[in-house]
Amino acid sequence: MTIKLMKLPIIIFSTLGLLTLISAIFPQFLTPYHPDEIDVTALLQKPSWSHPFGCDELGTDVLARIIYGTRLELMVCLGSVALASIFGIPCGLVAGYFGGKIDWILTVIADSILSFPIILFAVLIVASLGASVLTLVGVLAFAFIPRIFRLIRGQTQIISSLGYVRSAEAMGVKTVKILFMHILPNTIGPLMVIVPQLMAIAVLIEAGLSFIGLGIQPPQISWGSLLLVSKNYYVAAPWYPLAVGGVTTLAAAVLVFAGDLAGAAVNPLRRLK
Amino acid sequence: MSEIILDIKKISVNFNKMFFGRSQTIKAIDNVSLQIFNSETFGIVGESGSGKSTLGNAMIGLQTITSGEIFYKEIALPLSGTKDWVRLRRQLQIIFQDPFTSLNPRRTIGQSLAEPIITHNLCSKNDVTSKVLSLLDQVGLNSNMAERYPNAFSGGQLQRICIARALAAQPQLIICDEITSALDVSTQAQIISLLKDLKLKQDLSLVFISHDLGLVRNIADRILVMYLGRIVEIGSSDIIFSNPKHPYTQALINAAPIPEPSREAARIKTPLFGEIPDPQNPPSGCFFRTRCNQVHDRCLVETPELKQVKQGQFVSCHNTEAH
Repeated sequence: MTIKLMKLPIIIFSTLGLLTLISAIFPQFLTPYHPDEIDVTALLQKPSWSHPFGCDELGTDVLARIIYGTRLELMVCLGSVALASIFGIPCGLVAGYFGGKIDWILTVIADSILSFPIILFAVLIVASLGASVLTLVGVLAFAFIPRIFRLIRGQTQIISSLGYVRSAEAMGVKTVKILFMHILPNTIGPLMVIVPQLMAIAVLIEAGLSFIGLGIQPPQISWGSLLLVSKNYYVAAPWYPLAVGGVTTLAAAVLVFAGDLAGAAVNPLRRLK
Repeated sequence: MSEIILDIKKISVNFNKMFFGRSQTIKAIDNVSLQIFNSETFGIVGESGSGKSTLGNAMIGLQTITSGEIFYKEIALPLSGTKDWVRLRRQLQIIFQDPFTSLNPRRTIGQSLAEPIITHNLCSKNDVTSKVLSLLDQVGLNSNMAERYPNAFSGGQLQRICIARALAAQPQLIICDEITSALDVSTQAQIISLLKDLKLKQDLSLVFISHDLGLVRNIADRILVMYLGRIVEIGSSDIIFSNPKHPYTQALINAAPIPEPSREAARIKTPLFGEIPDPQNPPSGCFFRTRCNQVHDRCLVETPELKQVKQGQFVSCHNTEAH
């Protein structure tokens, strides 16, 4: 019984994940419509069986646009977290393992990045570099580096004092090997918790920035840029912004929830119950 | 006497702590000198916080020393990270107190045991597996255990695996840092007899750190008693247990129960009062004076030096000098 209950969320999340992957890679499999197809007979059409989320101001199927927008959304999410990990993980390992001055310097840098509001920072960067997917990924990654850094640093500090790291030191194992073979694999658990949460933040910030025109620009489709267009029709066609906003919120909520579940799965105390 | 393998000359280990911008120094080890001989078992006893684990780590170079020198077979311990350092790591090994955190939970027992072999290129790649299996056999474990992860084992089994890992590089000296304190009594006995066995078979010196006097008496040839980072008494196991000179050693031995009801009942119990002083501001003169039952004026001002009272017994106490 308990096994079945534990498996249910796994089934739900793997289905959602698969759905996201398909809509990112093969969106044509999920919808018969094309996101740039103009149909003047269907302007702002109400939701129907053939158009479950209705049609937009050019008569295009909203669901199709949302599905086609998933690709950029996923690129921003995964790209920013991956880029942040590439920098955050080694810095966290080094700071946590060696301590001392290098730890102090890296921590001060991380804390100063953390104390700066992401949106304000994004506005500054986009205003000077111009809005594009790459800038967005860069800005998000920059904002995520200190979060990953702090997590890895804390974990490394704990693990460094454990017997298996100290025996490896006593054995003369190379420091790089100690960091990446003994310490890093044992920080994966907490990392699994923070990654979906960061991805949820990425979804929301992408939506926010694109909404104020600083993120992904039309004609490229992302959920944020759809939201920006749809807000003009919220009186005439309320289902249009609701569908786009709803999907964005749902995606963020699902990601946060996935992080919580990952936390429960890696927590040995809860796993025993 | 047999050959000296580890010669420790006046080492001190200080820990600096920043407290509200003010730096405070804690002397974890204070001017300790001792020698470890080839194929002997050397016991270190003392209360929690007496610096015995720090001394154990410092002995093999895992803890940076503030002053003093350590020689391994007449060669000074090299700096961490150098080539000599890596070569030396084969010779000096350590086993830790908690077997449950001593093995990487994400690597199999076989992988953990293969690490020292691969690190030091002890045999060809094809022979690693057979070497791992022979190590497991040496500590009395089944060969099918090599593919399992540490969470499948009990504390005693894990400690056996740690012993096997320490033995993998054929070391000269193994520091056993309270290796039995996390185990139940019957498992303790097994681990001790295993260590004794292995020591007989191989040319091996052991440094056995413990707070269990009975255990140390059972295994050690010589004993060092530590108090607040200083040597209190050092000498052969038989002499220390039959005729302890320092009041602290006397109190320690007195506190250990005798496994014989009639003698246990007749034992005069004089427990130590108080606690070990704060190492940040230790008492003046003799560190033990705050808890000593034979304290007099001289102990307040003058730090007693380690002096030989008998062949193979050194004590640092003003009272023994007077006799």
